[in-house]
Amino acid sequence: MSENNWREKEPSLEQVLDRYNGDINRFTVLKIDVDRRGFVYSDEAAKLVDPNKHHVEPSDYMTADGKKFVFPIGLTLRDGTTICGGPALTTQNKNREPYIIDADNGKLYITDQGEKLEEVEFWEKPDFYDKVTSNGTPMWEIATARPQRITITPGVKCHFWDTPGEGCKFCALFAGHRLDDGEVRDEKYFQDVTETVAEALKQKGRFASFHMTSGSTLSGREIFDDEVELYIKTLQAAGKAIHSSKFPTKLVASGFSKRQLERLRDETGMTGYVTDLEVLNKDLFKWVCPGKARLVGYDEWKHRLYEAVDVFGKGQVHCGLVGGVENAQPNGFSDEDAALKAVLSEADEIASHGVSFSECVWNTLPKSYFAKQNTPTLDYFVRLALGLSEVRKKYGLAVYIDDYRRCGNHPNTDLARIEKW
Amino acid sequence: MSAEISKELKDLISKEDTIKVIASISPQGEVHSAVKQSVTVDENGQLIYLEFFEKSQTNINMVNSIWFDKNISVTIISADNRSFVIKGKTIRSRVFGKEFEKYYRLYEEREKDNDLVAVYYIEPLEIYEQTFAVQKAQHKEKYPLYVHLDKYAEETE
Ligand code: SF4
Repeated sequence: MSENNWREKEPSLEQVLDRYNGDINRFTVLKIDVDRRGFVYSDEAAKLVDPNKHHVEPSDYMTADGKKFVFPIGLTLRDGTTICGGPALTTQNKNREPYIIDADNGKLYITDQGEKLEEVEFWEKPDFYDKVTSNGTPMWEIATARPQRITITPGVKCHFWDTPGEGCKFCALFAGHRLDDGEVRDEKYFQDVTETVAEALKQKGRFASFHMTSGSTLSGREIFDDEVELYIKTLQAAGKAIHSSKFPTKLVASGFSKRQLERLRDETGMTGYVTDLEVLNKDLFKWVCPGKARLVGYDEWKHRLYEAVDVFGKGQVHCGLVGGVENAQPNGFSDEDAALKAVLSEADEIASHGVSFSECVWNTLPKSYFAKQNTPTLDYFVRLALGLSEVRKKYGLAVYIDDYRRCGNHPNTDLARIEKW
Repeated sequence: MSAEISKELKDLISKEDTIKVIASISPQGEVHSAVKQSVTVDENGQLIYLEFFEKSQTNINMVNSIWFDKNISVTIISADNRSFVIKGKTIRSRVFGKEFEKYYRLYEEREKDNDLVAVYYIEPLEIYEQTFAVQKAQHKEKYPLYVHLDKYAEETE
C-alpha cells in the first residue's frame, strides 16, 4: 500500500482518458502510467516466464515478493507498442503503488486494484542471444535488443560521475559502473561486434534499426573525442555486416561538436543522432545535470543540436528529455501548468531549428539522486506528450528515428505512428 | 459479437483471382479504401491483413482502428462477380515476434524486396453477401414498398 492517499489527490487513468478522449489513445496513456508508476509481476505471471523463449537478461535477477526469478526486459501491448524495462528499472518510490502484471488462463494482463486493463505479452528472445562469437564471447554480452533494434553499448562508464556530484540527478543507468574503468575495447571486441551483428541479421524480420549508446567519455583533444572514436570503430565494425553505406541507425550520445558529428557521418553508416538536454530549462539544467552544465553548458548543447541538423538533416536529430524532471524539488516547478508552459515554449524554439524530441517518462530510479522524489501526475505526462507532438507537427518534423518501432520509449513519437508525412 | 467466416468464404478469400478491398477510417475521419490482396484467413479461421508500407493510409487507419475503436470492412469480390462484406474490428497488430517473422519470410520468398511491416488481426463482427442478384432479392423481400409504381402498372398491350 502507498503511504499516502495519492489516488484521491490526482486524476485517475479513466479520468485522464475521458478528459483527452479522441486526442490520445488508450494504449499510449496506459503505457505512460505504467512507466510513471512502475510495475511488478505477480507470482502467477512470473511462472509464465520461460528464459528459453522470452527475452530475459542473463545476468540479472529480480526479487518479487521476496522470491528470485529471471525477469523479462519488456512487454508488448496489443497495438504492437512496447513497455521497456523490467521491474528493476522501475520506481522504488512508495508514493504510488506500481501496476501488477498478472496472469489468467495463460495470458498476461496489466492490472490495477485487481482490474484487468490490457493484455500484454513478454518480448521474445533474439535468436543471436544464445550464440557465441569465434572468440568465445557470448553474443548477449556484445549486444542486447529491443523487439526491433540491436543495441550496442561500447562504453560502460559515464565519466560525468568522475567528479563527485556531477552525474545527472535522475540517472541510475550507469550506477553499477560508476567506479570501474570500463571494458577493454580492442580488435577482438570489434570482431565480436561484427560477428554479433551478422548473426542478429540472420533473424529475418526481427531488426529495423541499429542503436548505440554509452555513458559520456570526456577525454580527448577536444571533449568527447575519445567517445566519438569509440563509436566510429564500433559502427564501422557493425557496418562490416551490413551491405549498405548508410543504414537505419540511432546514436544516443554526448553533445558533439560539428567536427565530431561530420566525422560520424562521413566515416560510418550512421543516419540518426540523439543527444539529451534532459530538461528544457537553463537554470534547472545546471542543477539536474551539473557535469553537462559545467563542461559544455546549456546554450552550447542546444547549439550542437542545431548543428547536428545541418549534418544529419531535419527529422534525423532528436533531443532526449526526461519528461517531468522539471518538477523535481526543491528547485523545479511546483506548479504543473507553469512547468508545462515553460517546457513547451522552449521546445518550440528548439523544434524551429529542425530538432524533434524523445521524451522519457521520469520515474524515480533506485540508486539515483532523485530516488525519493515524487513524479508529476498522469495528466501532466499526457499533456506533455500531446504538446511535444503539436510542436513537432508545427515545424513539419517527421519521426524517422526513435519511433514506436525503433525505440518505443517516447510517448510523443508513439503518437506519430498515425501521422502522415 | 464475433461472426464466423464460412468455409465457402474462406476458400474464396484464398483464391488468387479474388479481389479484396479494405475500407477504413483515417484519424481525420475520412474514408479510405484500397485493394489489399494480402488479406488472408489463418489456420484458426482468423482474418489477417498483412501490411507492407509503414506510411500507407491503410496502415495508419488500421492503427487508428485499434486505438480509437473504429471498425473497418473488407469487401471480397470473386472472379465471377460475387461479393461479400466482412465488417470487423482490428484487435491486434504484430510488428515483430515469431508469428510476424513467419509471414515476413513467407512473403519475402514470394518477392525478395517484400518488407512486411505489420500483421493485423481482425475480428469479424458481421458478414453478408453483396452480390447484386442476391442483394436485389433480399431487398425486395425486406422492403417491398420501396418500388416505382410503374413496376406494378397493368400491361396495356
Ligand atoms: S550523461 Fe547523465 S544521464 Fe547520461 S549516463 Fe551520464 S549521468 Fe546518466
